[in-house]
Amino acid sequence: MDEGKNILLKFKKRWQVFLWLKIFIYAFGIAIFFGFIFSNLILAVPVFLFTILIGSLVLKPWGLSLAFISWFADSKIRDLEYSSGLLLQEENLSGLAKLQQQKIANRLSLNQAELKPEVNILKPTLISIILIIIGVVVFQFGILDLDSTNDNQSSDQETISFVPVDPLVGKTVPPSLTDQKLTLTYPSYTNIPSRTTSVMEIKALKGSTVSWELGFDSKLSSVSMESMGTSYSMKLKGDKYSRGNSLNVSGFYNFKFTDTSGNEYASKLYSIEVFEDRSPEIEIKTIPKFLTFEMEDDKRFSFNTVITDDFGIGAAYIIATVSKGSGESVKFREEKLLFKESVKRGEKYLEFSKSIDLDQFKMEAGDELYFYVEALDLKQPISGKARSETYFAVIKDTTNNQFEVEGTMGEDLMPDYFRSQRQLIIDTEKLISERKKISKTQFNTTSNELGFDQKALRLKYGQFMGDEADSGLDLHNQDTDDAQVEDKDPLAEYTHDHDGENDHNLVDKKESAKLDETSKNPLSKFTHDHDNAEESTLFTDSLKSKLRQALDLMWDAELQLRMYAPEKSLPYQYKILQLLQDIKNSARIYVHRIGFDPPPIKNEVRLTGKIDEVGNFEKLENLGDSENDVFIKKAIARLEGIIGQSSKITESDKLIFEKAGNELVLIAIENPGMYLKTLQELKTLTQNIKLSIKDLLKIQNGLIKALRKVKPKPTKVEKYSSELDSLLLKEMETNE
Amino acid sequence: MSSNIFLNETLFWPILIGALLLWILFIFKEWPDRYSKRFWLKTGIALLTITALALIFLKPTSLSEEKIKTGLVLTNGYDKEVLDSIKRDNNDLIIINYLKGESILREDVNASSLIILGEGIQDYDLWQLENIPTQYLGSFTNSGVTSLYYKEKNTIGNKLLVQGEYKNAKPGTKLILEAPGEIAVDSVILNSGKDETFQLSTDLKVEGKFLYKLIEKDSSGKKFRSNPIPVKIIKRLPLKILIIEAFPTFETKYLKNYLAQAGQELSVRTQLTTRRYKLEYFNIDKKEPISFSEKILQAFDLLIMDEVSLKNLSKNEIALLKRSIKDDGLGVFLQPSLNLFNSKNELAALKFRRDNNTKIKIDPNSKIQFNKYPYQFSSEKDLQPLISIDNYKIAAYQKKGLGRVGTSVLENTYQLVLDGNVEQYKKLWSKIVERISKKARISSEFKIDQFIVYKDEPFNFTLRTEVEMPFVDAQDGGRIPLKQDLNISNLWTGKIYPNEKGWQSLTLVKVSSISLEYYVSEKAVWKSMLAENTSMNNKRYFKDSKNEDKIKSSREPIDPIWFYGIFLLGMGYLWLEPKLYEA
Repeated sequence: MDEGKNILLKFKKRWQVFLWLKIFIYAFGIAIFFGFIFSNLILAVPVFLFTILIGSLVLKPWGLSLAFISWFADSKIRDLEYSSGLLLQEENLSGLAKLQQQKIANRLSLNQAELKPEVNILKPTLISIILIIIGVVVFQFGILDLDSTNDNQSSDQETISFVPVDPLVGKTVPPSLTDQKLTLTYPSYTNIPSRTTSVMEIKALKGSTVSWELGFDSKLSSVSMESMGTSYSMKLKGDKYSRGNSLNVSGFYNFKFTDTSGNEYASKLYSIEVFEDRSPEIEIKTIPKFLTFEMEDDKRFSFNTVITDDFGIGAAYIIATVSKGSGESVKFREEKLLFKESVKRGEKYLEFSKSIDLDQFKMEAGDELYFYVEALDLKQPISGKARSETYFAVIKDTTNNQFEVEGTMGEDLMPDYFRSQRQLIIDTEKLISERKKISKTQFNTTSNELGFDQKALRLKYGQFMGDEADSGLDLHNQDTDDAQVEDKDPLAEYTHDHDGENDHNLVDKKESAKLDETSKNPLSKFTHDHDNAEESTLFTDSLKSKLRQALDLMWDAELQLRMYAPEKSLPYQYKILQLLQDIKNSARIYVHRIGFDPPPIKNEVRLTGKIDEVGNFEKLENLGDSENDVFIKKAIARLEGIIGQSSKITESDKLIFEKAGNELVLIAIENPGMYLKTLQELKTLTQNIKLSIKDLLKIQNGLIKALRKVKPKPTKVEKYSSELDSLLLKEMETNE
Repeated sequence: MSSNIFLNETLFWPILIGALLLWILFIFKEWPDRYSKRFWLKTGIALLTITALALIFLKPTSLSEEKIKTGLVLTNGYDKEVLDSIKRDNNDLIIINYLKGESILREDVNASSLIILGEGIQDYDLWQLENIPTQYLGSFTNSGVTSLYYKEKNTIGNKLLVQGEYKNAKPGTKLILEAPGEIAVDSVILNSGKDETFQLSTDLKVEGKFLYKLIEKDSSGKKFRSNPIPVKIIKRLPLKILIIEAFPTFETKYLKNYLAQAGQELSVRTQLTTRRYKLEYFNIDKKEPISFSEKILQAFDLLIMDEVSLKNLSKNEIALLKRSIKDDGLGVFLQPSLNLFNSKNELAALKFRRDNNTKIKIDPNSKIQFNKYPYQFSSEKDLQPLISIDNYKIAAYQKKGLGRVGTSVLENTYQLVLDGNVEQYKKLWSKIVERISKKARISSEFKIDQFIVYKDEPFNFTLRTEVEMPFVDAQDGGRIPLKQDLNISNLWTGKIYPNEKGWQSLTLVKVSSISLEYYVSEKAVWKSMLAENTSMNNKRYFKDSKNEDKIKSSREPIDPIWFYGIFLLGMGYLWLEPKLYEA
């Protein structure tokens, strides 16, 4: 009877064990899974315990009742005839019941093996295995690596660690850092919001401002920031020390503080890397660099431009230049064209298209159009400017491909206004000398004619001064003739009219304004045309007054000639000529000859001059030895001694290391990021901190790598030689 | 009569006669019994007994053809197979294990000849085997660097060139030259699997005493050996250079600029007109007159002058210059010019031959071409190259006494500077100037054979000095005794037992600038090379002491016990016989 009950009790226990096992398997799987996911096995322990708790609350292995067990046994073993409950009852049983109880107990003991707890162990096992596999995979491939690295960084790398400068201070508890903050503000045009971080290494755009904030747990007497050899003290604001700075050059910095008892502490070195705002980059697509058109073609083309900039584009346009003519007479016209699309300020990537019609520029055969795209970024105060390569569009000139010099250019068609004054003088003088030979009438006529000529000349010059041709004489023909001559000037194409024919430029400003209004050239606003006399700014007021003076004198000269007194006219004419010459010369630009051609001298007289008063030339110069990186080299040699002989670092060594550090900073700035580690370690060397041989080797390694190439230079070679050697040499010589 | 049958040769005849007489006396005594058989027996036994007696006195010797006992000295790295084969042939070998610095032949070892196996006996132990016939068999396998050559004392700007031989390299072995700070600067892979020569190099940049390293890595990149290469690097000393030219040229101008910027002490005299000069001094504190006097020339290491200036010198000045070259070692570089090539000059018999090349490449690895005059040096025996490619001399000098007179065939080298090849230009002139200049004479010099010295092992050094009674102090202040060479009075030798690791030095007392810096290392370095050297030394040392007649026959006195025995037995018989038969 008891036997039957015992079987049931045992079975209950078995069942419970299975339940506990199930809970354990689940908990184990989940815990390992979390452990891997967060790569933190310590986390797995609470997860494990928690899962056990939850599992046992859900499954309640202790709540398993005997009644349930007997019911289960009844349902499993038919032979029990649903009477296993009898086994649990011990008292108040009828005889039949007792009989049945005995029977059942026997049967139960016979069929014990059939009783198996209905707890599925396989499922939790599978789930756990799958969870563990997922965990391992995640851990292995670092899918959630971001979290882990962040964890690491925030835990140790970022915090500034301070080391006492004097190693003896080690006993006192140094004040510790409670807060460190670095705020980086980019220049406003970049539209990048300011950033606050606790990472002390700075990499920022030139012109950014940076501010540091350090908080300490105890009172300090001073906190300073050291950068590039100078120390800046940090201001105390509330309970935090802060300092702001604008970044212009790359470099290094570290913090230093003094506590109330006067002990100094220094942090390690941090780098400042400043990069420049790059100018925009322009790329012109879809057209070749050279475009050629036939005259009868449709002279249109279009192209696409892509402009990129690191912090936003400010403006973009096309600069087009039309060149007309060739050789010396080439003329240029520059125009600024805008793209169809408007420029969105601050965009980092813009794409434009533009189509250009050459006819729009009034281009003719042989003319060329050069254009390039120019873009500005938003950099302040001076914006970065970039231009694309120049592209060419050419209209072919099939009529004139070669320049030929013709043999028939004998006639000098140069206008000769100035000569004519001289001619007048010559003619006048001639007239005076011939006075006795010729008749009086002829003399008078010639004199009058000369007077006319003088007038014509006056009128011609008067035009430039804005005088009106008020003579009533028919000078028109002559004028037009002159003008024609001028127009047909065969040399005009080959000269650039600043000099020589500058009389063109003597037109009054008012008149030039009038001309401007009347001229319909739409490009005139944009061009600076040297060939246009009206726009000339070459002449000063004194020049004008000189010309006026000359014109006045011309009146007098003409008067005397018309009075048949050429002698009296001559002094005026000379004066006029003088003035005109002055005007002409003042507008000339003189270019001195370069070089010196000495006159040939006879060889016999060479070096025979008197040189008594000439002395020797003496010069004394000390260029010194331009040895570079002196202290780095000393530091390397000293480190070799320290490593090899394990000697101690003395104060003078520290000085060497400090100076070597200063030299290394210069090299490090040239190659940002390369020698920072060495610099930091070198700094620790000067701060009395004991370093292992391995660290010393690392420093030496860094220093040697930073060394620049040795310049080749000759040196004195030492050689031992004894009397024996010289004796041998002498012997050899005598036997030669 | 053979002279070594009996030890008491001199007594032979008297004893023989005495013995015969004794026998005759015996026969006479027995004569009455002459008809019995016993007589003959007794007579015979008496003869035997008397002979034995005689031999006791004569001490006869016998030819003993016995083997001499051989000692087998086992040193580092001996071949086991060779040892076994020797053992097979010789049964009574005495095996001696060699320990450095300890006595090889202890008193209990009774070997009359020795065979050495392995790398051999250290130099300082060789004296122990001076009187014993010894054969050096060697037969050891050595793997690693077996010889190494480099300049222990070098100058900044030079290359450290490490050349050596590697024996039995495993294919894929990588040799790495490591600079201080563990920077690998050069490497080579040994692939042939046999003996190979190698060469590694690096630029020297820093003055001081440094320990470079030669690292050996196997094909998988694992470091398995590292050996130190101690190098002392000295700074460059400026030269005193005098440039004289009859008219200014670009060539000289650029050369002058380069030399002045390189910190050389430079004086330049350019003729402007008759007796008027432009005098320039660079890196010199005091202006000194430039003229040809003995005193002034003595101060200079190098004179660079053009052909015209040389021609303009008076006979006196030429003689002075020649003497300066010969006795003081002044270097003279004659600026090349067509005149120089076509005419004789007073200083040196430099001869030239026309060729048609006006361009030449100096460095086969670079594209840079140098302009040259269409001339070349005609080969002269006493012409030493300053710069040459494959025996083609571009610049050369002739040795005149202690000095040198030279020139080059290069034209307008300043063109290199204009073309931007400044580095090439500097290298070219640095080489020429350095090689032709006067060598600084030092009166004393230390030398050691080995570049590495081991702790607690003696090493020898030699000192050449003009000091009458030199004294040498070690770093710790101890004075080192010196031994003067018998024939050469300025050659001294000494021996040191260094007892501390690292850089050590020896100083010549009173001439403090002369010192020997050496690196003392633990024993564990350069093993293979050390073994090779020891082996070579042993081979050389034991070359003459071969013991060819291993089997030596000698005459040994025959033990007299036999004769005594025979005598006693014979006498006993003769005494007993009458009693047996007659009683």
